[in-house]
Amino acid sequence: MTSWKELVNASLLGTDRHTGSVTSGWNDPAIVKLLSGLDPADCEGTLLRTAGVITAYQRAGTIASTKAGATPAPPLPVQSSRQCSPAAADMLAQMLGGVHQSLLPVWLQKVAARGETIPPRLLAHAMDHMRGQSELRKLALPVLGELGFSLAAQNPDWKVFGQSPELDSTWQTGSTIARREYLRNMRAADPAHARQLLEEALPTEPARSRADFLGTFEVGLSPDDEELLEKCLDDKSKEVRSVAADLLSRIPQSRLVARMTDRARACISIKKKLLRSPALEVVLPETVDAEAQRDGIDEKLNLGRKVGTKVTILYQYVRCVPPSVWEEAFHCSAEEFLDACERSDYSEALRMALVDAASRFRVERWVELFLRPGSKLFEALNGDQLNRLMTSLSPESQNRLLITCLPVDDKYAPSLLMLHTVPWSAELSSVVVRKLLRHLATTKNSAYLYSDVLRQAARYMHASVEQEAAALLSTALNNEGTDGNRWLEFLNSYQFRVRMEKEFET
Amino acid sequence: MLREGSTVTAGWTTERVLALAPDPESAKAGKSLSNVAKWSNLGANDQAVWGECKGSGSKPYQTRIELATPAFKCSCPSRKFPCKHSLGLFFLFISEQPLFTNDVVPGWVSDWLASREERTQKKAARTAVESTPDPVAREKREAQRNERVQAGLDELEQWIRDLIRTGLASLPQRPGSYWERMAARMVDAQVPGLASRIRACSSIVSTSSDWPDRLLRFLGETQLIMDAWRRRESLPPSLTDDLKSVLGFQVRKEDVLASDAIEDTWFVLGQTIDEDMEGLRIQKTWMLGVNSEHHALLLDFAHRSQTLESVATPGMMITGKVAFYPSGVPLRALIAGATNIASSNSFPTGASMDSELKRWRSSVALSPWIMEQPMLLQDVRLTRSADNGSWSLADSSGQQIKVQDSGIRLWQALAVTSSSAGTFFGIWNGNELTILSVNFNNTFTDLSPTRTIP
Repeated sequence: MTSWKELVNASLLGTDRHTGSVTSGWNDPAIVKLLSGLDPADCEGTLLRTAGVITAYQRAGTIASTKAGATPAPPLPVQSSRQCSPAAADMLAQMLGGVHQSLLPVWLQKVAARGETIPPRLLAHAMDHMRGQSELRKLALPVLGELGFSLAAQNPDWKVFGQSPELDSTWQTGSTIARREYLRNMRAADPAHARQLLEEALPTEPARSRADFLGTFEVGLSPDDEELLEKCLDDKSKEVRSVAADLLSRIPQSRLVARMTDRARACISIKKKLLRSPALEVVLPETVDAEAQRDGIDEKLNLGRKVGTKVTILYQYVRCVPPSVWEEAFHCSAEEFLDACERSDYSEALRMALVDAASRFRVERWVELFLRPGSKLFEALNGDQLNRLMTSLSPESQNRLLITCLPVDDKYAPSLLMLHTVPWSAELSSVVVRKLLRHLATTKNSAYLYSDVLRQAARYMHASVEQEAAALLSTALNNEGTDGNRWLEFLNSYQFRVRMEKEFET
Repeated sequence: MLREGSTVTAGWTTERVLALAPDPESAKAGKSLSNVAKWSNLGANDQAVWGECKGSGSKPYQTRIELATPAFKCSCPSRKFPCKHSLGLFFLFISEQPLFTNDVVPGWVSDWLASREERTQKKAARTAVESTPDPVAREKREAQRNERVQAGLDELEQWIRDLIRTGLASLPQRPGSYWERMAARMVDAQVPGLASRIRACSSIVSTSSDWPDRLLRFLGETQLIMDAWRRRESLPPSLTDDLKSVLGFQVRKEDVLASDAIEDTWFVLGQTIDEDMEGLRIQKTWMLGVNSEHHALLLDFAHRSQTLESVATPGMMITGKVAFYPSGVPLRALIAGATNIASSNSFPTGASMDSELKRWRSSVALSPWIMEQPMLLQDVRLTRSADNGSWSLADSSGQQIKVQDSGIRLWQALAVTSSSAGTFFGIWNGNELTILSVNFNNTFTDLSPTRTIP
């Protein structure tokens, strides 16, 4: 209303300076009549009272709008999959409310495995909670259902959920992130079809997308992908070439790996000595030819201050060679070869390369050689290398390794345990509980050191050790100086999860 | 000797003390006086801080601070309150605590503390007397109270008129203490409701982009409140009740519970918790009497660290008596006696959009300062404007009212109703509806964020 605006302007200016009436110009005759009773000589009072009257008038008078412009929102799609059980829904509600929230990933995985969805009454809370955490978002995608994706399309805050990676239309019309997830999904189900889709799309996609999409080929990687990847080695974009080279170097039978093997073998040989351990003879590579560059060798790669260019090139060769090659070529055991490398002049670079190769090709024999706590090789590893080695092992091998290491090592075994992100075996769980008990008996400030382990344990520890775990708590509470709360939190989380899993089994 | 890091100073910071300064010159003068060279005979204990300041006269000024209230007393001739010496002493106390080694209280400090104590006790005795029902004494107290209120309102009115005369444009440059001082005067004049209004004005000016509009509305209403007070003898009693409520006069719980109560089965339709700037949490529980069709609002308060009690949560029914605070449109209530609290599967029917809006209009007529009203709307659905994407609730004839769309309540409702028609409960503020719960397909859903289960 123009008149109200004028009133506001008058008040900003002040009645000392403002001239003109504030009581005329209103539409409603009842208002005009009411305001005519005010004393025009009292400028301040009149302005204030007019403002008060109009405010009350406007507040009371809002009527419903009958504008034709608003269309009823189209009915939202119905979920085609079944909702999760009421008990499961209650658990979700609890977690969204803040209780045992770190167990949400477990819930999401279980529900997804059963092909069920989040009930509509919890969808909005769930999506609101998860939108900021990529791990949760990814796990949530299979359980949102058509309803969830429809809401995501309408709420700008939830754009990040993108479109369903299961809908074929996502590949046609979705955002880059959504399409990438679609492709990744497809690689798990039908790698050949995914390869075909990408081949068709490559000519028209921008470089960033090409690299992103190609990256999904780490799922279901096989020699069948070699041809497409070799073509990508000639791509215009450096990023795409580097992704292609990285993926090819993970396929032991590929021509790239064969080329790398040739190059590496040209540099390294073993001299067997009588009565002494074999010595490594290394001839450093001089330059990088065009073919090697195409395979991804980069002269300028920085390995550290003290490492020269030629050693860097050698490292890049060796890390793409399947470790068994050395055993066959030199008729020696893995230990002997590793030993020779350690005694050579280039021990550091060779070690890094062999750690990389062992992880890349998932050769468990070699990986386990590195992962012996207490050994010199183990001591020389950094956190990143530990990570790579551990994650290249199968869960069963990880399990075996941990069962042997945990009882004897305090320094590194706990961090290795953190990398074992699958449900723990009963035996491993037992070992962990006993270790924690021993720790409680000897240290005062235990919870602080073991808070990560406790959080992990709540999520993965086997249900069979419930009794032993309860004993942990009573010991902790009896210990002076121990923060009993952390242990209580752990036990509650663990028991909640065990209950949750039982719930999903019925 | 005060303990290291005693809890008393831990509460006070330089910023908080600065906020006490009556004007910027005092603050500046106080800062320059916070130098130890100016002070002698510094001392403190858990209750008070004191010192002597070299002034322009021959004798040093004696300055005292009582920490809890806080209260100040200085022998200097300044009329400002707190004076620059009090401020300086306070600043010094916060930054250089080790200087205040002496805890033997000198006479000029203990005398002051004692007289304060006497005054406090007299006041307590007064309030104790006030609670005993002696009609003559009560009338006398009320007359005294009304005098104080009138004096306070006179001062406020003059202050507001000055504002309007000189113009609102310069207000954003005013410091927080400008508003805080007037708010404090309103508290002294026993109208804490107006103190809240003034603090709200301060917040509007500093945080809203459309502050001139909102501020003028507030000031205009305040003028009408003051006019109404002057004419209170000729107002209908229900209007006086609301007037007193807006001014902040306390109504005692005992009086409310003693009044007529409505016996009914009350369905809890919604619950919200808000926190104000001082850390006070206010829980609003909205109920509807199934037979009487009367809405009721329960208020619970708790400070940050305290737990908020909750009689019942949305979806439950309370059978019992509910007593209402006096008002032209009775809404705020207390539970006078509950015989049963249980979860429910029957839901109240609600009313049409037309009749709910009509009820709002008559409520504003009966209680002009009403800010919000609960509405239970039957057979309405969520719709979205094709023009600007704003959301509304529409009834079957196509009429719409705006829905507040920040937060997730709207999306919750959308997920549950799939934009089909249901019965929606929300709070209407004259402009838009904040939806709190919905009954759809015979299922009741509370739209508020899931609470932590203790």
